[in-house]
Amino acid sequence: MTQHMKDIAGLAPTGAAFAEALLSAIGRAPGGRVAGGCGAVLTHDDMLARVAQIRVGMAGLPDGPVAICAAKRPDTIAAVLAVLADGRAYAPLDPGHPEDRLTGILDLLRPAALLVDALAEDRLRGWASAAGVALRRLDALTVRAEPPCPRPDGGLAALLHTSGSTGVPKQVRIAAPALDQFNAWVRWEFGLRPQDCLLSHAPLAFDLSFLDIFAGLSVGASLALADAETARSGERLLRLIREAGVTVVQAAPSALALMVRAAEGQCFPAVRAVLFAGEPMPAPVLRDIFRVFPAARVVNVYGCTETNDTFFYDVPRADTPDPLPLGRPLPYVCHEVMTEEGHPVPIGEEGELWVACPTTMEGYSDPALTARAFGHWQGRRYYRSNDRVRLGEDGLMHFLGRADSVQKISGHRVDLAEVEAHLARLPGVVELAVYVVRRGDEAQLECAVATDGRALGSLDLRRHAMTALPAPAIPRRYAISAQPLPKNSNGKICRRMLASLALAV
Amino acid sequence: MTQIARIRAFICAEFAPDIQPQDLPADLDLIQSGIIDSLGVLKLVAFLEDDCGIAIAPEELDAELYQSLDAIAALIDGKTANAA
Repeated sequence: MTQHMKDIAGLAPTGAAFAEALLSAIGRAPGGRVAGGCGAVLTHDDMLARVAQIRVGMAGLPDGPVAICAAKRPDTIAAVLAVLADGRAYAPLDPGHPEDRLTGILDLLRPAALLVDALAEDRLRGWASAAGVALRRLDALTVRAEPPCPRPDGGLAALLHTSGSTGVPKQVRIAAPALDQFNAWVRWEFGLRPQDCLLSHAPLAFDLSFLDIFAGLSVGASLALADAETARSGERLLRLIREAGVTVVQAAPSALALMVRAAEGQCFPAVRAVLFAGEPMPAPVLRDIFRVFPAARVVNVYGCTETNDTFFYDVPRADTPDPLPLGRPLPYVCHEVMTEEGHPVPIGEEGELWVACPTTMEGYSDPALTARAFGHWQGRRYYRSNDRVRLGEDGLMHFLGRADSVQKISGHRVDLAEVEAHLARLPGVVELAVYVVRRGDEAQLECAVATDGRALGSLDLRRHAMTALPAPAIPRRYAISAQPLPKNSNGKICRRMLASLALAV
Repeated sequence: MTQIARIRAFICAEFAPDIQPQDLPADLDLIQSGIIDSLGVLKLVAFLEDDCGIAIAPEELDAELYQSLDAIAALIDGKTANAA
């Protein structure tokens, strides 16, 4: 750990203390503002006033977390801060999710209240009245009064829900010190200042938003919030970057792909850092990022909801490796590359990445799931990432694929991540996914491709595949179009949806 | 439709629905390109026998003989020449 990180004084012990620190940073930077995608703006002073009003509006609620289901607007950020300042955990729900998924999460969460906007109110009123849970419209919480004292801390600050592989949501429980430690790293590594403006692209329900919202506000910086419509459009995102004066961009590679495609010769020299995370970055998109953001430090960040970010890699503009390595660990991250049996592999060999760090979740709501997620080695508890990695001689960690990306296809062991990485290198490919489709009793590899508009045929993909892949690893069918591939709410390509679409054709 | 055109259409329909028959190069390695695997060779042989009336001897069940449209044409030509 570097000296700087050691010097950081005690971390915020509670959500209320964490929120208090954010609110005083906001108060020290009155020139800052939080701007939404549709013209909604709160100055930092307005933000403090809204946080107080929302807190007043929460008076009298029973103990427990508060769910927030509202479009990503400045007011919604005020609601997050208000819930934390009240000494409660906030549980962000994505208003774009199907109603069944939202009510499934709410059944698991049993919140003390639901804070909603008009659209979400219509969808969740039924659940709230059946469950006897208070449902409050954010725009109705406007009483100006002294906010109540924070309640005794429940120990948790954020409850995020990820889709489990079985379709049952997993509740990831995160405590305030974990958020505070992460903020400290982001502030230090990227030198955040009150003059910065961070683009917040990821939905609030996704842990990527911690970086923009919490680390940004912890220095009193401004935020440019992309709501769902903006997040889907490269053109709107670029307009938001320009109009809000964004200096730090964090987005999933597929969102950056939308932006660079819409740029058409524009460039954004005011952006000083571009961070991306969540999925592999296609080399052609990366080249365009360097062109569209000519002054930016470009960083590949790796992590997951359960641990937050754990590795990062400064992408060089020349001799850029492809695929990109995960890079080096954050200063407070311990890691091991382990065999399936839970022993370290010899250096340079493939294994599962285990990480131990202060930004790790407290656990899932399901203790049995929590027990399976962690492994122990030499007295320390590690989160098992389920990612296959290799530590290179260059000291950099390299991603090889998800543990479950290796599949048996007609008796052959095929690594889908490797197939994707190779096929994605064909010029003209913007996005690409390979997945297994069961047709009759045969499981076969199929591939969906989004092109940059040039005429790319399946024969071109097969010919390219033949240059590096064995025959069983070559997809049997190809769906090629210039349209972006379908994404899940985290902005990642949804292979499950692609596989079912393939069968529907 | 010539016999080789029928075979070409069968291969595309059965194994590579994304490729138009006229676009399938005669010299493309069908095995290495992942279009036909060992199971696919058996399906192709069944098609040659049942739908094209071409008798395939047991020793001709060798994937190499079906490696490309050119190879398949050569195999059939050899048989027609022998029969003549």
